[in-house]
Amino acid sequence: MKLFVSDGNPHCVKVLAVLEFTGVKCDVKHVNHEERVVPYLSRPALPALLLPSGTHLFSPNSICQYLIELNGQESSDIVNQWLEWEATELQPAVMQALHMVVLQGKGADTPRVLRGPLSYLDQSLSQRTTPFLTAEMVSVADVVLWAALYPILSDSSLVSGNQTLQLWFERVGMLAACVSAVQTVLQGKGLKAESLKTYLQRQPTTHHGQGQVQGRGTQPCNSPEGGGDDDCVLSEEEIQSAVVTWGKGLTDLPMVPERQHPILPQEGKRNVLVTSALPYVNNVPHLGNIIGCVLSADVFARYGRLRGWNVLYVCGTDEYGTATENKAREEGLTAQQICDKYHAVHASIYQWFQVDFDFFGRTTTKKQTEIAQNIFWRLHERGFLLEDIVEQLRCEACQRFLADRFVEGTCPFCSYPEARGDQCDKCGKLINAVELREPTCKVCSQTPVVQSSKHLFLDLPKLEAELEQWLERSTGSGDWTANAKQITRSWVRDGLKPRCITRDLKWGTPVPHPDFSDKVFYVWFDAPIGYLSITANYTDQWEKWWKNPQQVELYNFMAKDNVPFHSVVFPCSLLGAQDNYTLVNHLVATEYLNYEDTKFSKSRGVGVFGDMAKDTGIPSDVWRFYLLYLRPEGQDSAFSWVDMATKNNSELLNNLGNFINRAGMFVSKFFESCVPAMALQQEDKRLLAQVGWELKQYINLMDRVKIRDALKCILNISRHGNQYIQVNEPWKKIKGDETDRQRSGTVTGVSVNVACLLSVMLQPYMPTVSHTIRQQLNAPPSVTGTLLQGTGNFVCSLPVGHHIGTVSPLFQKLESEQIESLKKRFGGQQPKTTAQPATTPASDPAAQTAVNGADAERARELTLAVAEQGEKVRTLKGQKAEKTVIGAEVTKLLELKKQLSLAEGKDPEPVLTKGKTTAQPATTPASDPAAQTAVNGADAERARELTLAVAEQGEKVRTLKGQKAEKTVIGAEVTKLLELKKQLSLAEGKDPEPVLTKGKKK
Amino acid sequence: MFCAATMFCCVATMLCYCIRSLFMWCLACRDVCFVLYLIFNLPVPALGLLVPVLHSNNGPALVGLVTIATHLVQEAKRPELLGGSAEHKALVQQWLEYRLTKVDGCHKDDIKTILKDLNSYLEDKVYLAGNQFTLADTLMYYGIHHIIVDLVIQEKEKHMNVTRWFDYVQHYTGVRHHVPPVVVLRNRVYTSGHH
Repeated sequence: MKLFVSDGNPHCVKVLAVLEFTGVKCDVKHVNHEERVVPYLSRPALPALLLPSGTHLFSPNSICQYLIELNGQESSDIVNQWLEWEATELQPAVMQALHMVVLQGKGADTPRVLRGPLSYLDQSLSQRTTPFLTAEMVSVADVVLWAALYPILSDSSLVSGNQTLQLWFERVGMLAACVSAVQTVLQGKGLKAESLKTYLQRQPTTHHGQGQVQGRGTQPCNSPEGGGDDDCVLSEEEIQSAVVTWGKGLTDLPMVPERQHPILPQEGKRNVLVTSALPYVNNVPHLGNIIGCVLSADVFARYGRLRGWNVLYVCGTDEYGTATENKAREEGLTAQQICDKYHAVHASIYQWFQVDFDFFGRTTTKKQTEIAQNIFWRLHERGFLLEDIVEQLRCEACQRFLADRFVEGTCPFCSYPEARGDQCDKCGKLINAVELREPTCKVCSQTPVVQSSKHLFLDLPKLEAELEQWLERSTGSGDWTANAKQITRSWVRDGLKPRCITRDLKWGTPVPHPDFSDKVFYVWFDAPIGYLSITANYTDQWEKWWKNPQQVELYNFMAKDNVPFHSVVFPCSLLGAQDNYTLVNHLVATEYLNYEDTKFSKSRGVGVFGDMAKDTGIPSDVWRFYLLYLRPEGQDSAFSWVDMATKNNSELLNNLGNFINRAGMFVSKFFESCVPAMALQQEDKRLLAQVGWELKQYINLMDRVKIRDALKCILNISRHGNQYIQVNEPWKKIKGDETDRQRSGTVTGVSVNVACLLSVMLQPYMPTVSHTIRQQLNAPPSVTGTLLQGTGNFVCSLPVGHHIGTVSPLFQKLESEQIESLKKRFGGQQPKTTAQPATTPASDPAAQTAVNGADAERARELTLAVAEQGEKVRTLKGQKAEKTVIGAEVTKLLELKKQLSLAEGKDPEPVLTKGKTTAQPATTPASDPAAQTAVNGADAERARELTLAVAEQGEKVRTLKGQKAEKTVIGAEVTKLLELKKQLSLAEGKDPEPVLTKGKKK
Repeated sequence: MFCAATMFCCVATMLCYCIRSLFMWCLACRDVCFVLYLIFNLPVPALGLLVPVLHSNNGPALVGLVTIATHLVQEAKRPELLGGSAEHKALVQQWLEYRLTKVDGCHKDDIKTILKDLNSYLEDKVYLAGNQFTLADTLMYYGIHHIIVDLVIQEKEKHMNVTRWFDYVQHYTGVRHHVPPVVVLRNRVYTSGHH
């Protein structure tokens, strides 16, 4: 027999105590929490007992019972009953309490969830005449319950009352078996044991798995994580205290001061610095980008301001780097122009989404250069930088070093011919661009050469020890999301390597070191410094935020791909600079948001992008609501149009909007817009307590940046409210006798106050709606500040006689037709199945038969006509005909081509149309295709060059044919031509310009 | 002599008698709010779950499904339903507890894990505690019935061992009682294994 136990696991205290108590012989093996001892369980389950038969017991209580049984004792009904109670009632409460106390550092008093079970146990003990639970002698039930409660009850600060229970607890704890078990598992430390903390961190916090069995009995107020539908069961005291709070009114509560710029840290206040990952400037952000950083951070910042914290929220566009240079080349602008253009685009999108930055800056500023160079020099002086030679690919034709994504070649691992410079799409392996076989420049198709150049590296290994120390402190005390901790842990565990911080580029912060004068800082080094420089552009006193870890709490919001840079690399830069920088205290990372089960893709036109959201006609608040409702906390989530409509119609319209509107309407219709007198009955008091409880949950969750879960609390309140109205029927009672009318008044008055509370809780999520509600209710301005102070105060903020404004509906239904059309509009095209050009008999454009779609027939005719006309023009040119004649024919040709491209607008298939679908066909048919310069997509440059090459090669073939050259010679040239055309049509994936039109013309 | 089915019928009937006293008891210990707990998965609208209490003439009231069921099996002199050897007994207790703590009130995300774990556990076993039918099988059957009813054929095939066990149990004399039978196909439909 073999018993597997792990440190810090209170269940192991049970079995070890019983083992020693019974004296059964058994090997004990200490394993890690994560060890999967029981082969058939998908989650680790410890302790586990390997039986002589080879089967495992994994339930701690059954193991204890078994050991007792081996010792020759039968378990009685009463023992069974206590064990069952322990497993089903006590355990979930204990786990939740431990989670709160140990991991969240809450509760100087007995955690609420435990009060019920503890007092039940206390009562049961005091009703007995025996010293132990079941008999004069200690039984397995005593040991099991004692061990379960040990971490809590051994901490005197958490125990209050329950005298009998405490005596019993001490009595059992004196057993030698118990003493030694606690020593083994928890090092005798109870709650303070580090191993207990580690154990708890590994336990799922939601109702997944162990310990969080959903509410049977004593813990119906559980699962704040689930934001559950379980009704809260309230005690008389809670109801009483809710009534007391209600009675306080708005008077004795503090106001939230107006924001005054520049916001600076203040003594005696909670100073919260919020940043969201800087969006990259070269593109329009999609919904996933928006929810991942700026919107989430906005909700938190707004919430913090409501709570009366001193919040500064900064963000800006990240503007340096290769991608910007390329975008500039594509659009024929300078890098600075591109940045200016897209910075404005970003700013206006966030404005539309009502993201309330205190300052939205950018990284291409003087301050950025100053601060980045300062940090660089400090690192340099302190010996945290290394020099090394790096081999890089350089394209001589383009005169530049090629970033990974601009090289293509054969994968050195699987020989896939189109591997990218950083990764192979086929085998998925990471590639170092210089290892590619037959590399080509993606812009000009030339073969790049390997060139060495000297670069600077940040010596992460040297900073590792300091980093780990800091990480332990920060992750231990702050609210880091699970994924942030996990990603960081795996980075550090794999060992840190020096990281290159310089790049051979133009567009970046220049490296001030004379040996590296033609280099700039690599974006990952540079970009996070943007937080500092953006703050510096906001206020000269930026160091009060950024060099003030004693006073400032820093929250970083981002998507998970950004975690390592914020948790490892950037902190290393700041630690190495040794300038008392403020380091992140709370790293909040989201998972990814997908679009209808696929990825957002700009190139395929899939998904909703920031600038299009407003064109949908759906209000910004509804967008915010839905994005926050499905904020990818914990796991990836997917945006879905149908779901958005459902949530809008069910949650916003029927639940939230309906409640608030009814409450307001009753006041205005039945009571002439004056809040009626309220005589609270038990039922009303219960509602106050329920709402108060949800409000506390909301605050509790928001404090830990559980934005999505907190939103559910709001919806729960309006659900309670709707039920309350439904049950009490104030619209009927108003027509009844005096008592009924009074009742109607009470219900209406309470409801409208709940509506007012909701308006405040909604403010971080839906600022406009929140404002509208407060306007409709004519709510005093002080409500926003007061209701969310402390642990939440649901006070009567609209007292008797308060005059409300005009009430009108808040939300509109989203109809299914509307949703269907939006779905279609943003669905993108079908991914291209094959790139077809190989099958296209491209040497003769007229032979292109593989055209489909409604206009296929016409397109085919036109293609023929174009070819014919083209031939005619060439002939005329060959005959050196008069210019006017040729001109007329060319005009005809252009007209034909225009018609052709129109006809092709609906054709999803090959050559001519590829680009069409992405690039609004309506704008394409310019009368002169050559004039079309607005080509976009990364391959545009290449396409243009290829087009020329195709034209040239085509001319060559024709000349040879004209000269009646040998067939083999012509054949070889035709093959070349075909190859070029193939490349061209590949490159055209993003090119709206029809190939042939262009090629032919020249 | 009780047979398994009458025994459970008994519990159910007693439950009804006990509901009143249960509520009285609830009032007595306000904080310990015992809600109605569903035995046999009879849906109890809006009340959530309910913990059964057994009042009898000899001795104090017993609380808790497994406790009561174990007690009744002993009263009925059918100790084999609780397992013969110490090891066997422990296994029965373990799966009874598993039903209470893992299966009852499980979140829908957990269903997959439960099915997967049970399926690999049952790979080389006829019943939950080995080769003998026990109380654990009956209670697990009722506990998991609502899950199995909702599985499509493909899912049933994916969890073939669970399905096989479930089918045995539902055909075990006197077990199925009032809950609807679940159809189990004898031939596999999705043979390729590419689910």
